[in-house]
Amino acid sequence: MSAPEEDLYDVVVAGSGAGGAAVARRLCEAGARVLLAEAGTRAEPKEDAFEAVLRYYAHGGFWAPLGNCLLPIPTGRTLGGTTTINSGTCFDTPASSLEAWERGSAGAFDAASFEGSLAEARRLLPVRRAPAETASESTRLFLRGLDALGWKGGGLLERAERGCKGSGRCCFVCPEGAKATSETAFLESAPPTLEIASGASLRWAEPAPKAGGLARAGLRGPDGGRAVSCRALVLACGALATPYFVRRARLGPAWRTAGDGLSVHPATKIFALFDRPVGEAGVPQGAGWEDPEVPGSRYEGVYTPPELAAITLPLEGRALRGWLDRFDRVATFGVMVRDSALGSVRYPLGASFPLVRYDLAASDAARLGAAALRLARVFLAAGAERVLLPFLTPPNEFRSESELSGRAPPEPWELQLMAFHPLGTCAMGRVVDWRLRVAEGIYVCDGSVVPGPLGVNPQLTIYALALRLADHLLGSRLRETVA
Amino acid sequence: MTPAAVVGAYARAYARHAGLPEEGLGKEVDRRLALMEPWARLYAAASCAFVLWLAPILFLGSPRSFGRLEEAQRERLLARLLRSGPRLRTAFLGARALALAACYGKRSEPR
Repeated sequence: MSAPEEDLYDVVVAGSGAGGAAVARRLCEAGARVLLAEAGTRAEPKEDAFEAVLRYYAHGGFWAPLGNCLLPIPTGRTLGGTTTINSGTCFDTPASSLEAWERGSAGAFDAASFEGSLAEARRLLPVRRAPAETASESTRLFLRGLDALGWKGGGLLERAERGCKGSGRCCFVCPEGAKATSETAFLESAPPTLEIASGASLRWAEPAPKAGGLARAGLRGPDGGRAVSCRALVLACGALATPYFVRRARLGPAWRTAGDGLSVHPATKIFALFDRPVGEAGVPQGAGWEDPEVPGSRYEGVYTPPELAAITLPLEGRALRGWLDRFDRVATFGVMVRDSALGSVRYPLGASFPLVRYDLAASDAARLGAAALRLARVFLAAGAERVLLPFLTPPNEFRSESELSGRAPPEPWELQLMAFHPLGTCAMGRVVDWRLRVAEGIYVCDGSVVPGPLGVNPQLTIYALALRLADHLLGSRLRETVA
Repeated sequence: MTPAAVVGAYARAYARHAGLPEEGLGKEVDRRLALMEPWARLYAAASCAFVLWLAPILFLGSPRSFGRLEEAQRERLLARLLRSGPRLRTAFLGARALALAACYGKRSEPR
């Protein structure tokens, strides 16, 4: 039973990213009374990308693990979570992952049924291939370079969008509202039974004391703290935050391992200077390529505005200025690899300051270095005057292919890196079961449940897991309370 | 000294080193600092203080602050910090991020 002063909901969802928003919407459409609590607030487009990062990225966008490399892992802290600040790229869950999950779950995870959830997520977002006319100039130059080298397989990527005009600001809040985020796809025009509390952080979670009982959660918002009761509590705070609540309340028999198994898809990018304008317009991540020469790699477009490129360019002083003064002629492209190593997250200073540990495997550093050299060849083939590779130690600027051959493979610390897909810290089959249940009345639905690494952008997988969870709850825990 | 004063001092010193205009830098720094959590402001200030006053002694053996070093010394120090291990670079990055964002916050004119 809930305490007399507590509000009672059918479902409370903490977090409005791909997992939280989708499960909340599906359940309230079925008639459940749902409270969705999101620590962030609604994002507004900002002209200054640095300001957008400070406002809408967790920890101002500059939180990095301890380890053998500097590897910031930006995540969203806003309505829509990380989907508001990602590139919108969508991939189905790889067949190899689905097969492994089905095998590992002894059938509790049904791959064929999950493919139906993926298809439904595609329809609801919606997902479509980026039109060629909205491609950025960086994308066009990348594809031209691939063609010049005779390297096959590059092409336009699928994205969650509706009416994209190619503003190029996907990661800094789409000014057109055209990128489909979990907010635009699932929270806008939601039924009135969905109560959204923005600026409200989850403080604690408590399982139901017995089967069929009520779970409880503590929230803190602008108006103070309150406790709520619910038939089902869904933790959807993201792979770097959700483990805190599992560990704090010792949820489930494997709570001590919550926070382990972190994969991130370490990534880097190169810059290429051309003799003509490249600019910022166009879909930044409109094209991609799987390079057969660098196993487990995935090349995808990227755009970094100059106020942020200034921080990420591996140069300083006059050399840095030399590139930034010509930034309108600079193209960029990125690459990520499927991790060989796994990290962890713990909370010695509380939920607000996750202590993330991640050591980049030497083999992953070598693959990223090799991929960066391959990217350099692509842009040089497309006509670049010179390329700047993400190596902190010289040489990192090259003007020809012949110069590239002398570059030694980088050590992990020498690479300029970022990572955008934290997964696996409350993995299915380890911390949560294959129905995403972690304790009586408590479920987890965000990137933490994905036994990573996936090797592809994970948001479609997370959306599909959310739809699957909602259907499961409607058929089980909520069956008697929701008409 | 306030965090804004320390970060502003580094941003101005960096702008002079990079040959960028200093006009309006203080306002750019203040605007961004206002958006940051208190802990982040302190981190940025500590990072700037490190580069301004401690790094010259540690890495160049010079008692001069960053802004009073010879140009070649400044270049050497910045390169040394850029190419350091991840922990030191994290300390440097806080200073670098704010100063560079303030300096390059407006788009560069085509050359």
